[in-house]
Amino acid sequence: MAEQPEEQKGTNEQEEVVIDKARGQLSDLWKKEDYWAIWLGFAMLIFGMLIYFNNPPAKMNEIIDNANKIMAAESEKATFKTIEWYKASDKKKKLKATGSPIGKKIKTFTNKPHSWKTNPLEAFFMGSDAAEAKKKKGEKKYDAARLQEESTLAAATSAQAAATAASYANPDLNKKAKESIETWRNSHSKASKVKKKTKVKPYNQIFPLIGMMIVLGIFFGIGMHVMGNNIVQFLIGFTFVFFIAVLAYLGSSQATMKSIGIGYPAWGILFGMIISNTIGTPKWVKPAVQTEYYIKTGLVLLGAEILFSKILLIGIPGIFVAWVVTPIVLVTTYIFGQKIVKIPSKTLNMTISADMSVCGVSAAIATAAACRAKKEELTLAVGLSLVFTSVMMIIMPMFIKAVGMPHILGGAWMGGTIDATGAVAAAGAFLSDKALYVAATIKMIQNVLIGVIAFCVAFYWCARVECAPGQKIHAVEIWHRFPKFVLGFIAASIIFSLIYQGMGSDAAYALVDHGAIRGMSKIFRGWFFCLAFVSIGLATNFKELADYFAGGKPLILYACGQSFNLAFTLLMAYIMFYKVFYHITEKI
Amino acid sequence: MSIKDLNTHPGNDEAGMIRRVFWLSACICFVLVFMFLIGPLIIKAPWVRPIAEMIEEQDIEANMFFYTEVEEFSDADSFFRDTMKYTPRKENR
Repeated sequence: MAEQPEEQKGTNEQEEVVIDKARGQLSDLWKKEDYWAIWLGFAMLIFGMLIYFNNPPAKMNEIIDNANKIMAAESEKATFKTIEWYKASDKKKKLKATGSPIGKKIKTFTNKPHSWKTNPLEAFFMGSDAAEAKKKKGEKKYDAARLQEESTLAAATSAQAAATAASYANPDLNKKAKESIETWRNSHSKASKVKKKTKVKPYNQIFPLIGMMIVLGIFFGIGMHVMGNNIVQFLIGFTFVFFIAVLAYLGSSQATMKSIGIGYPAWGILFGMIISNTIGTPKWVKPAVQTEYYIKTGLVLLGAEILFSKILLIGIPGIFVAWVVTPIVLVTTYIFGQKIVKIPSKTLNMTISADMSVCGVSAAIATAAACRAKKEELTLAVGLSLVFTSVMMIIMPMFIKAVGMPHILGGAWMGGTIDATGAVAAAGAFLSDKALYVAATIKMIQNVLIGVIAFCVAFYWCARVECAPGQKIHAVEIWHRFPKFVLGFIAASIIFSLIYQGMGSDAAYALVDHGAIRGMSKIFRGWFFCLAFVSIGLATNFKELADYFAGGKPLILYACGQSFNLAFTLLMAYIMFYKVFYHITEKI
Repeated sequence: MSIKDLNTHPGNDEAGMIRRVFWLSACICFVLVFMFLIGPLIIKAPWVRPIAEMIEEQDIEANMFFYTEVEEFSDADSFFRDTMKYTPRKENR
């Protein structure tokens, strides 16, 4: 790459900043991408709500009422969760608005490249013969899993009958019944997973992907046009960016890459960087390299997925492990980065600190956008998170097993420290269902923290970091500087949390969680972030990236912060789950 | 793609083009080697194999980064909602 004159370099640096300068004009509402991110994000969310709220699962309320009555009755009579209790819970779990005919159509249309192992074509196309062969293979495995489930259910039924006959007054029989039921649940969970492999159908994902490209091109193109850009040039470039995004998804859907935790953010950045640093990003692609536009719109959608009711799922211990430890680790790591490691860039320091302490890539994106971090800084944070996550996903469950740590404690520890949610699920499932549920819930509570962190970071940056020493900033000035899309992000979170609360958690699980969120927001947010990561790669220079890594300071910061996080989370999880709120642990 | 469109690097001469295409090919080769050679070797390592096999068997989206993208989180949510609301009472007495 050619050396740029100093003046031009400065201009480019300005352009690389994640957020544009805010000015208090009415026309900002249609001329600034911050606002366009809000309009587009909310349009998508309203569309999702209209579709799924009007297509609830058949007899939803009746099924919920019956199931709740059974569980209430069972919890009154038994000293453990009975088979009937679990079956009632399973019935509620099956209620999903995404299972409606329109939900299924949306899923087919918006599917990303499918899973594949050695033949990448399988990601896009599978004929009926291949599907049938795969189905038969799955059926064989399912038959074995079903038999196992049936035998464990029979054992659990007989153990429960013995405990019931003793009016649940015999502790030994109760304990035996509880253990037998847990064994049945583990085999039930495995059989349910294997069952999905018996439902293989032929597919051709090429046309839906082309359709998706057109829809997203027009979706973003409208905003680009109103903001005064050439929509035709944008659409031409968008085809290329979208194509690379499909390749990123292709990389992440490969079985081996899934197993080692390398997802589409890494592939998107890598493929983009390969192009920009070898043959160069073509001129005609550049109008569609709109990192901030894609990220901000994706973040508004992400806001809807941040439901505040989730923080109470596991009670007070969960809040302590996720909402007390995490901010302390974040602030401590940031101060450590400034004072001890002396990270030259405050935005890099904050992005890495949030990435490491909160929940990896999603926190890095939100924080980077809130504090106006540079693309290279976000890339570096995502890369560090990827490496540490892959290693921790393998080492932590092995260590927990080796030292005989209780699975609830181990689950809480992993949920609070492993960055990526997928890796948390894998590490938890490797131990047991209990470990998985605790780990997943702690991580979920931590995920909700992103909204608060993004808001606080944006405010702190406007009020403190971006002003001259001694300068007093007024509220109006803070408002002008404040990244407006963060308001959309927070608003989406509050609105969806209120809707969730208003509906009641059972109905909201079916219509919000498995409707507007998983059937709309999650899908499109995934595409928007993928397009953003590709854009980051297409605009990133290897040499500049290396400069940010000078002296290995980001790695030192991450490693030290993560070490503190590991020790503090384990201590807090032990105190909360085994000393202070041990009765909650007994419930699990 | 026309070489005239390439603007990131100075000089659009033939040697430059060959060099760029060479590096592009080398990077693609590296990706393929990582995906089909190094990756499978990593998951065959004794300390990685058990978890890798479990991820494949249970089809866990281990490379996703938000809770709504991973099905197991929905199961955990459902489990804790019911567990906390309908706790067997006698258990706590």
